[in-house]
Amino acid sequence: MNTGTGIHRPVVRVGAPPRGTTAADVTYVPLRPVRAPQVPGVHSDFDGYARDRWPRLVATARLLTEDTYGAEELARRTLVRVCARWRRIPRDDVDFHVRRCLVRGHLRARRAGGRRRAVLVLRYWSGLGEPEIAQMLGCSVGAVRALLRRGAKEARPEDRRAEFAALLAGFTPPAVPLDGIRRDGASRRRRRAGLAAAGCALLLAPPAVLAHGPLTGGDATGAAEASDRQVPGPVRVVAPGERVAAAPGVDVWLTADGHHWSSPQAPNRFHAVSDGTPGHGRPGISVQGERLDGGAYFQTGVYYGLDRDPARIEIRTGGRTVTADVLTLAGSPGWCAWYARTPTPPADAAADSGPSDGGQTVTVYDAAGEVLVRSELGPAVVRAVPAGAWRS
Amino acid sequence: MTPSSLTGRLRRGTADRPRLPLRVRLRRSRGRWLRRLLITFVTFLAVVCGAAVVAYRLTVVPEPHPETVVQSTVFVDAEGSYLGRRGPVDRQEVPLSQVPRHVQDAVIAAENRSFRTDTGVSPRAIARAVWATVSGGAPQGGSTITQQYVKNALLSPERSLSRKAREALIAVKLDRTRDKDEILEGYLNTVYFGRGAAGVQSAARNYFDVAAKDLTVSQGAALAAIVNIPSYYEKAGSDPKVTAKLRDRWEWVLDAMEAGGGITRAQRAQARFPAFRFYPPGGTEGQRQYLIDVAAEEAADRLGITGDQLARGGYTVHTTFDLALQDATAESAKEHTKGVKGEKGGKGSAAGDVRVHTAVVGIEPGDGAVRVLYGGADYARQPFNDAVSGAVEAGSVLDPFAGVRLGGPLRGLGDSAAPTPLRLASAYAAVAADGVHATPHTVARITREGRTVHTARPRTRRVLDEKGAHAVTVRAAHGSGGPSGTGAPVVDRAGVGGGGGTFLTAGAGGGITRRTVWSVGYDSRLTVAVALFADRPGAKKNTTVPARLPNDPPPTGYAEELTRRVWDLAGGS
Repeated sequence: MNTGTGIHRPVVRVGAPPRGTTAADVTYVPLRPVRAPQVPGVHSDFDGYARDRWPRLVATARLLTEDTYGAEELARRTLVRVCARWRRIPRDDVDFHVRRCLVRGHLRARRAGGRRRAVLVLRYWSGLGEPEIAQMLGCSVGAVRALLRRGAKEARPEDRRAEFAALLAGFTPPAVPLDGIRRDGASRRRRRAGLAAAGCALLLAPPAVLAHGPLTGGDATGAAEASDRQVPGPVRVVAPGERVAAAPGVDVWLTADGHHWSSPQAPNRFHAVSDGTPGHGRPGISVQGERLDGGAYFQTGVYYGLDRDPARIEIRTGGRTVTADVLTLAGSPGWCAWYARTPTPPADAAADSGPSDGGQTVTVYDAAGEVLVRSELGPAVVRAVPAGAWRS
Repeated sequence: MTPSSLTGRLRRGTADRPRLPLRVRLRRSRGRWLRRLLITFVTFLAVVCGAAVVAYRLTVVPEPHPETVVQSTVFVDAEGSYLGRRGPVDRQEVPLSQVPRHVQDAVIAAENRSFRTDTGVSPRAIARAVWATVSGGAPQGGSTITQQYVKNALLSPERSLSRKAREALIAVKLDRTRDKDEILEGYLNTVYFGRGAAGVQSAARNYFDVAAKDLTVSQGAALAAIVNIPSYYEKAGSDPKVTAKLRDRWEWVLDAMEAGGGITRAQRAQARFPAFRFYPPGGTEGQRQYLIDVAAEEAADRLGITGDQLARGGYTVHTTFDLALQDATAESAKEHTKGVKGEKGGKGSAAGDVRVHTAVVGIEPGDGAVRVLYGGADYARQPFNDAVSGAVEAGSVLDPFAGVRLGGPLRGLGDSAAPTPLRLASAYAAVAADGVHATPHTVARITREGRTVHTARPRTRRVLDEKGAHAVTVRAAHGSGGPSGTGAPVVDRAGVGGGGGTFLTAGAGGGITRRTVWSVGYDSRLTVAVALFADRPGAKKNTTVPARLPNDPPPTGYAEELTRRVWDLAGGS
């Protein structure tokens, strides 16, 4: 009688299959896992295996499904799956994997009760050990034993074996539909490869985008064009009445009315800017100055009639250029005050008169480096006025 | 059990049937292990998610931290110029509508570009921060504006991982329960900008001396750039290195704003790096505190709260003072004081310790608004305000009121020997207003967060009839007709300074024993009163006794000159 017992021997091609024995007196012959001989083509390797195992595969399926047509379909589908992943099935454990594929396919198709039947078939017809069955079903050994015990209550193992043998009596396995299996296997493999690729792409895309974003579109601190921009002079916003220590003993401060400064020689000098709104009157600069104790010269003044914010004021005197400090009230009222210490007095002028006759120019630049206004000698110079006198 | 099954079981694991190699067994049960691992992982994930949900449900958005509710009260003069502030912190809240859109955009561009769309926490920003830390780049913050707001305003300042988690939870909850604008408003009003200033309003004041609503694009971008490291950038302006660094960051913020559509290309091209106030700022005359003292007391009184409540309440007190006039008055007074000291130093006489006090009051008749209030040269040395609380011997300055019945608030003035300069000025202001007395006030309006909470109305009352007022003016202008008890000089100054006003100089004592000098000038628009007196240290420590006024320079001349100067500066005719 042809039984499927030989299926659990991994090395069919090497060892002689014990044909003709009955399921009842099958004894497990331990066989060392032996590497399958290297066959040049994958297909021929699979073909040989499939042809060899087909009858017993169908027989096992027949016992599992208890349905002739379903058994053949199940065996065929199992081989399609095996063919699809043939390359990745470990060669020293082919039978286990094929059988697991079969059982899984069966259980996937019909769930209720299928598991118990599978355990009984595997135990009493295939003759597998409990651990192996557990591995095959992906459950614990205890669960397998429980199922066996329950099965043993219904019928004794001997009866069970006999029942299986009776079921398979007169069963002739059909021919192997090898071409169809190979074709379906190949298409299944392609489909799976495509799915895997798509899954990987989906999984990797978000991190890639996330990693890419901050690195390129992130926070590179700019300001590379530092070279060609004009260096601005020191401009300082002051509150009305805020004293600025411009030089030792000299304070400069602005009010809404105009420009004040005090020095040790004169307490409060004032230059009124009554109308600083742009468009009224032409731009101009005033210059006042005083000799300091250290021999340096202090100069200060106001410029007015501006329609743009000044960025830099330069005083050219005696061949030297000094950058003046600029004071402005908040809100760019159209006029600003400036002060500077020039190292040499441009002329031996009296302390209170402007040093205008020393051949110096005061130039106001805007942010783009354009000259806003350049002091003319003479008329732009405004003499110091006592506080309050402008009002009367 | 049947014997065969028994033997089958016994035989298992014996030499007849060896155990499979471990490798094979592991390979066979790989699926099972993977399944177990997956289940464990999913369970873990579910537990974590559940915990997060529970934590989120249990999280309560806390009330703002007490320290961040406190605001300072700002005093401004009649023109809106900043006078000073009171309060433990430099912070004032403004509604978001008063923060220009480009300032909001700048802060968002600098701190959290996805603020308008994110959920309070930005995993991307966190990933970027982690990446920057791991890869050794410049450390970046992974906090959103919402998280920073939660950290600054709602939680206590401690650093720990659990607080970080709590912060994120609150941030998410806040983001789901509140409007983005509300969060941004809270953030802008609490974030620290350096220079002791929290909130955009104080920052605008400290860096540019403007209100937040007047910030330009450049200034807004600069403030947004400062938020990153305020303690470093606060020296912007005075320190060239800091300024250059801030400028780089400022350019970066503007570029980000342009990229985000906050400003146009033209605006970006036109933007110029703004000028800053320096830190610490230059000193001001020691005058402001006198004004603030008076105005704060009055404001608290008007609102019916204590001075402390006022200082912490975030009010803006619009005073009636004219800051330019006040400063000019202080300058004039300072010049004179210096002159006196120089003279004293030269003499080195017993009168060397005599200190001359000057008090100036300028009141608008009929309204009572105090425009000038000079009560001392330096608040740090003398916090006592001579103009408000100093009792100055009246002498003959009240002579024009002789025989006139004064009612209402001025009752008893004629009999008082030493009125305060403020009271005397108000009396002459009543005369100038044809007998209608207006209680002097220094607070015009009080606002809070853009809403007016108090507007001063002139409290007027007729204290003498028009005939009486006219009589006083005539007497003041032509010398007192009444008995001049102390024989003090009464100088007719009518018509001085362009005419129109009535001027009078009087005082107590005469000749070498002159004790006080008063000089009053008034017309229907302004009343100026100047009082001069002197004191010197008393026998006991920290006491003073009255002294005679130094005669050089002549005090009467000085008082008249000061009156005239203030009169002219105020545009009086």
